[in-house]
Amino acid sequence: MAKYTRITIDPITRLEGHGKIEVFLDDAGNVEQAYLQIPELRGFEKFCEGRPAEEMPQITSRICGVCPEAHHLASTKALDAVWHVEPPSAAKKLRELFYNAHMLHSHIAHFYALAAPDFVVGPGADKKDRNILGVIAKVGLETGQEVIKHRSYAQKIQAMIGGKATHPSCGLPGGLSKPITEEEREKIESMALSLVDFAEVSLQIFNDVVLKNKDYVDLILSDTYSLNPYSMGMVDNNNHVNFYDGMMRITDPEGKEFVKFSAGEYNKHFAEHVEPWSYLKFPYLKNVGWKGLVDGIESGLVWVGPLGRLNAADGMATARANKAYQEMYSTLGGKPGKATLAHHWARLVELMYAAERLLELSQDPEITSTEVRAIPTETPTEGIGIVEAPRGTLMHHYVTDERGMIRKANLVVASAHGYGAMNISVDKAAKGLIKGGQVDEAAKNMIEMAFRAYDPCFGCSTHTLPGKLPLVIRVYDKTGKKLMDLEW
Amino acid sequence: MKKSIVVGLGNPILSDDGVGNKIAEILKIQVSSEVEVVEATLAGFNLLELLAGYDTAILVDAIQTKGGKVGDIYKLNKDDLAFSQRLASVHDINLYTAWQLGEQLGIKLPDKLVIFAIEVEDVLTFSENLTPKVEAVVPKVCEMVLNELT
Repeated sequence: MAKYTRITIDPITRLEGHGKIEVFLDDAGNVEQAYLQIPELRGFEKFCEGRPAEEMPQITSRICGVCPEAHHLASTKALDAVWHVEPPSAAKKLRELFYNAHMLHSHIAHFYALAAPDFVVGPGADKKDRNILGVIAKVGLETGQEVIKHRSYAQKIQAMIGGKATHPSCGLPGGLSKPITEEEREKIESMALSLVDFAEVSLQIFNDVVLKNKDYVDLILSDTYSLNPYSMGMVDNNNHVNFYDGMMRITDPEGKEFVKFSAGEYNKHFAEHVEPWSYLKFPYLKNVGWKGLVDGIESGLVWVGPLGRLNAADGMATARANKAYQEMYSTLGGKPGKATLAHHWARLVELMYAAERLLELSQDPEITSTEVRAIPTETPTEGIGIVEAPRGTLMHHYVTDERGMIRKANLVVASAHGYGAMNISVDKAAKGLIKGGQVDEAAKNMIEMAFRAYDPCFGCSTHTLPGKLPLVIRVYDKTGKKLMDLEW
Repeated sequence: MKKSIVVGLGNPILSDDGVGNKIAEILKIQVSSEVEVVEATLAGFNLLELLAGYDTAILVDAIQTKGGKVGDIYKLNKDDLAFSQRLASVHDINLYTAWQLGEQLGIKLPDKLVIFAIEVEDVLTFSENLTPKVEAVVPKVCEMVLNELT
């Protein structure tokens, strides 16, 4: 039997949820297989059962501190479906405005605090410099101040609509709890104008620091960081990216549309696979099938998040973002984009879209309408709500009794949708970067980069086995024989 | 008058992770009106904004250390932050980095920062209740925070 050496990268720096990457080496010191593992949160369904469904937007926004607004709105949309109620147009626009502000603050934080250290400071730089402080040392204090200012703008806008920024309380079945005033609209418009300029600066920084550095472009396009799964994202009527509402569109690894479906049809298209070594299940396309942790047209794994969304769309609905979209695909060699690290670039294209869309909505005369709620009149039953969270597609599914009490709640979060692809990316990077048993700090970080591109956050994605206690994680060889137990 | 803020960090529906929130809830009715008491989920950028402008800041958070005894209370300063569950939350920047960033950018940060970290048992189960040993030290931590404010 081959001898295996285990290398553990723990904790994954700059990432929520205490993930762990395990790399298995063979006799020659090359990588046999690398896995990504995560802890499990327990008892979510049980916690929700018997509660009034209206509490779900508040409860689910507390599951995770990183994207409470995404959970809040996915949950609110699920409640619209549970009560069979259509929110008024102004409420939809206001929700979308709120949500674009959320995307802005999340994408700004990810790019400057989590992605930029690898590129601006350098993937092989000393660990103590590979953080936002190192980034600011390179790009200047003024840019640092702009980052803080614009992130704060996005928070303020969310607070105006949501009641408070981090745990919003605005979402109700059929609409929102309150409209905004003309004075608030003016403030939002002025911040949105500034955010558009800031997005332009961010794209320029990416252009100057990353795209003008041939080594980085080569790294982005290298096979080590390449993947070709299906892609999923929400689109509007023109097949342009939308974060808040629309149809789910999936394109295949050749870039052709595979399927388009509404939120309510989600369960017709996705199933979940269980692996013995992972607490988190792997969602995959039912009509393609589970073929293991592999990419390609035969395997039902999907890319979600920025590059998944952009791959699954035909373009962006706003002018500057669409220009950035075209430029990105021209450098990547056309669609679909296969470069895992291009998620960072796609995130900046989305940053521009979110800023432009925010501006558009803030200038819409209907946005200050007081018609922000349609009172539900139907008996509540069951419903699914989907939004595009910063990290990808987020799905909430509730079943209630006739009084609207939760009978069943299931969430499939963005990092779960992308879990299969993430695992392949980590495995490929490990195989490309570790040779002959040599693993230095730079190689470790570069394996993490494969993973960090997804901006994953597992705090909320691990409740898929409610009530079950953690088991020992075991590793098997190709014949199914257990090689070792992994410490947790 | 010096301005003070107490921040209870944590997730109120994830068992002991909510100990900071629970303490903030109690302190809200115990402190004088000059002291701001808030709950927060994330450290990093958000905390930087939250603490800016105050003279004194007291943070209360859950912690899990290797071999730690559940219910132990640690009094820390910003230089020994790295291990707290929430303060080391790394999706965002951690508090230590946030603090340095704030100083670098000229943001007015508190002159006094005290962190109370409580060794906890369970931060992975959805529940609004603390485990008994953690629950038992809540009054003691409240007292320690109040002493720090006087």
